[in-house]
Amino acid sequence: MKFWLVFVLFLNFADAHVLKVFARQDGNFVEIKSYFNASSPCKGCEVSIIADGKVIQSTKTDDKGMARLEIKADKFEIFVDGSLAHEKRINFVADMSNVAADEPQESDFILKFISSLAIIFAVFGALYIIKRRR
Amino acid sequence: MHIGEGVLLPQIIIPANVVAGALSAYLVYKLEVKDIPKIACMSAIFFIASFIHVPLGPTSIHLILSGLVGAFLGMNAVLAVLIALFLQALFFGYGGISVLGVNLLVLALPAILGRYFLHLSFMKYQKFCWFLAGFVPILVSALTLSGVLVLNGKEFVAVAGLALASNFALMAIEGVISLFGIGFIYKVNKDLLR
Repeated sequence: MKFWLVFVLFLNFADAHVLKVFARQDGNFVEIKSYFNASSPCKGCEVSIIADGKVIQSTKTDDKGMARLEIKADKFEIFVDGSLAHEKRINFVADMSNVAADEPQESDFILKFISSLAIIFAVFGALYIIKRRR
Repeated sequence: MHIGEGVLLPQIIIPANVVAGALSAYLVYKLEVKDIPKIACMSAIFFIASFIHVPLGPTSIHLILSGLVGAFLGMNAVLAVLIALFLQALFFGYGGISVLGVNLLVLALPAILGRYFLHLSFMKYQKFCWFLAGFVPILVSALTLSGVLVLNGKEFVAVAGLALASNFALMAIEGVISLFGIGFIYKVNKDLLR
């Protein structure tokens, strides 16, 4: 009985130091949250994004255990190193339909350009109507 | 020649926005209906010109055509430039909304000199005045821009010199465009210049 009590206590202690990592996509970015338990975020922990076996991005978590990185690949691993052999590796699949291209699209430019010209004539058209009524 | 967001001190931005806002409001109040279509067209030309980049060594400069706009519109050039600058800042990141007043005063007030040289061209040195109608506004704008940067702090003195030097080629280019532009309108419809 004494053995089991010590064993359960040990398990509880060990669980407090298990590194947990969650990731979610927010548009072009992946938000990573890492913590040991609810009151112990993984502060300043190294975060690496690994695609095809190579580290393509890295950063550190903030005081809340949060990190945010731009999505550069559709599939990648998120590796969080909490030091003292506490580390966690999770796979992440990005929804690329929600990721906007880095470079502005030519169609966007043309749309903005035409819209701007339309706005110029709309503004002065409105002024024309207002002034004419007076 | 646009100054971007976050560069200038509030002591420069706030008075410039107040002056530009008051001037624009006064011009809208005094605006005559018959002038509005011409202002809209010149505003569009000013807007389009900024997307025409001229390669210059390792960099490139873009056209402004403020002198030409000023030659056609006089004081109303301020309104044409205001709308174009606002849209450039809003959609394309040229300049910025908070520095709109500074950019307006830097570009639009010297543009009015274009009108002066156009008037002068009816009396003497016709073609030379048409050239100056494009050249001088850019020169004055570049000097004003450099002055604003110097006022902003000692660390901007070198940038101010660079801004002035890099615009010398543009002054000549705009002078030539103005010469041919006004010359063409003079041939086809002289009344537009009156």
